Amino acid sequence: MGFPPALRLVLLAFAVYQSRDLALAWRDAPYERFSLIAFLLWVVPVIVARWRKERSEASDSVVDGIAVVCLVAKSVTGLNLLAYIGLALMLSRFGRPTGRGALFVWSLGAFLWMPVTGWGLSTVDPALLGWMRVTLVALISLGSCTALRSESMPLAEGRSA
Amino acid sequence: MWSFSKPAVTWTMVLVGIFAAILWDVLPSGNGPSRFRDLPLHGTRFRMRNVPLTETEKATFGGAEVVKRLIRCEGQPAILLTVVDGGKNNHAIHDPTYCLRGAGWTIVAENPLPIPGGTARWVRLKQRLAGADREIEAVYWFSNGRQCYDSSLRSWADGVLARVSRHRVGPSPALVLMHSLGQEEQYPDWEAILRSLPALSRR
Repeated sequence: MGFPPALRLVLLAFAVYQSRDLALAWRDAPYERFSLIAFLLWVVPVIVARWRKERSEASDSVVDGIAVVCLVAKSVTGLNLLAYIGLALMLSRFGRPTGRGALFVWSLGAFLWMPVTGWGLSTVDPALLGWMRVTLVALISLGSCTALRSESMPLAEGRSA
Repeated sequence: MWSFSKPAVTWTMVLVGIFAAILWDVLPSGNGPSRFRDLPLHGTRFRMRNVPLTETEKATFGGAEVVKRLIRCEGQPAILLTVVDGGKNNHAIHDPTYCLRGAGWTIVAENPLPIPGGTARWVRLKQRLAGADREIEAVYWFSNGRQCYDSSLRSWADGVLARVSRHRVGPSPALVLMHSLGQEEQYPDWEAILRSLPALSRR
């Protein structure tokens, strides 16, 4: 059990507000040139899981609580990374890969659209780094969606039977 | 374990958190005006003129106070100075090598450079433009009002501490970046330039 659905929407809106510098980074920072695409690809499993009404094993209350702490701590510390983590957690509340392995890899994949990756790997050519990030996120999302499909299969077969 | 089972309590706690976060953002943070705003335009061995920020720079620096000047020191090539004070926008303070690499420059050499207030970093950068190599040199440091240093991680930590304490432990760090323009054959003598501009490394 987690937050009421309306409160989750409020928190998602707050997460978007707290992450507003992300749009600026995507527009102007040379190392973030492809990060919007990486973000959109990362969100695909959220949409697919939502559409398929998948339930994850992760505890919703804990995810909600960590997201709130991150979003409030962003204002206190000024660390944008906390807002981006909060945004990723709130998005995951609307749908996420099932299975611990897929969820773990997909969660780590969120860092690929965050500017911290561009900052940490700024010795790599910006265009090459952009393509690497997009390719990795695409593979992770594809894997997550495939995992969703295979885990749902018995249920779908059961329904048809 | 807390299960958020009472919606009214959950709503109240979350909304109070959001309200407190927004208040923390909008209330005056206790940081005074930039320590660099009254840098002199003329001295015995230098003269400076203000250079307007580009639209991209304005967007990147947000509300931060920025000083951008073209400096001419006696017997030295022209230098572009950019001072970004993070007091009003901590996020404007970046590792400058991140921005320079992003702008297509390659670092070919770098070294720490002792300056009166601590340590700066000297870098030589190369860029290939229209089939020709162009080289410039840059010197940068961060200043927390007490010390100058070249570590971007330390400036990040200083910025967080200043913000969390509402600037009671000290001002937000500022970034001082100077680079040559690469239009002259001569490389700058940074020690001579910094000797001509003592006010810069003592803030």
